[in-house]
Amino acid sequence: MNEVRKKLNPRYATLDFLDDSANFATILGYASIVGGILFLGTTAFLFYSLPFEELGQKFGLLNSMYYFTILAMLVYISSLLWLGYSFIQFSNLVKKAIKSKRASLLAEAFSHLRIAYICIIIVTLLSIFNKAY
Amino acid sequence: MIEDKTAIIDNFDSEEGLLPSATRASIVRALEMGRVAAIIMGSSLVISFLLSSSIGAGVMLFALIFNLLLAYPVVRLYQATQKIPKSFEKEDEYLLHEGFSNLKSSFKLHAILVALLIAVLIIFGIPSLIAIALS
Repeated sequence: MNEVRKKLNPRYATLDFLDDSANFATILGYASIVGGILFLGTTAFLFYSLPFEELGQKFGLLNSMYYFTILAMLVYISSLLWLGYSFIQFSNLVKKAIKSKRASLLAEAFSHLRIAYICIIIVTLLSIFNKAY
Repeated sequence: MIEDKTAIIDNFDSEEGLLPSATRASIVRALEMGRVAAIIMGSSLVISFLLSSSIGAGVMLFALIFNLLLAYPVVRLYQATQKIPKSFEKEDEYLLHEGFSNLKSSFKLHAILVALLIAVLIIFGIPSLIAIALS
C-alpha cells in the first residue's frame, strides 16, 4: 500500500485538484452571476410591464404574501449574485495562494467558500419555500 | 510545473505539518458550512421529488432522474466534508488528496448542471414569463 502511495504521490494530485476546483469555481461563479442577472432582468421586466395588483393576480398571490414574495425574490437574487462573487474570489485567491506560496491566502479563499455555502443555503431554503408555497 | 507545486506544498507545511493551523481551521469551517449546505440541498431534492410524485407517474420518473443527477454532486460534496477534516486530524495526505478529489468533482458537476439550468432558463423560462406578462 505504501508503495502505491509513493507512486501516486498525493501531493501533486492534491494541488492539481485544488487548482481544478478553482477553475470550476470560476465557471460556477460566472454562472451564478448570469443566473442572478437573468432573474433580476425578468423580475424588472415583469414589474415594468404589469401593474402591481395585476401581477399579484396573475401569479395567484394573496396580498399579504405578495410583499413577502417580492422580498424573498430580492434576497434570492442578491444571494445568487453574492454566491457568484464569492466563488470568483475563492478561485482567484486559490490561484494566488499557489502562485505566491502563501497559505494565509488559502485560508482567505476558504473563508470566501464558506460565504458561498451560506448563500447556497439561503438560495436552497428559498427554493424549498417556493415549492412548498 | 509539478515540481514547482511540490515546492509550494513544502513551503506550506514547513513548520506545522500538512498546512498551517489557521489555514486548516479556515478550510474546516468552510467545509462544515458545506456539510450543512449538502444536507439542505439533499433535503430539497427529496422534497421536490415528493411534491412531484403527487402530479403523475411521468413527472415522477422525470423528477427521479433529474434529482438523482442533482444529488450526485451533493453526495460528492458531503464526502469531501467528511474526508478533508479527517485528513487533518490523522495527518493523512492520501485522505486529503481523496477529499480534494471529491470537492473538485462536486464543483465540476455543479458547474455543468448550473450551466445547463441557465440554458434551460434562457430557452424556456424567460419566453414563458414574457408571454405571461404580455397576455
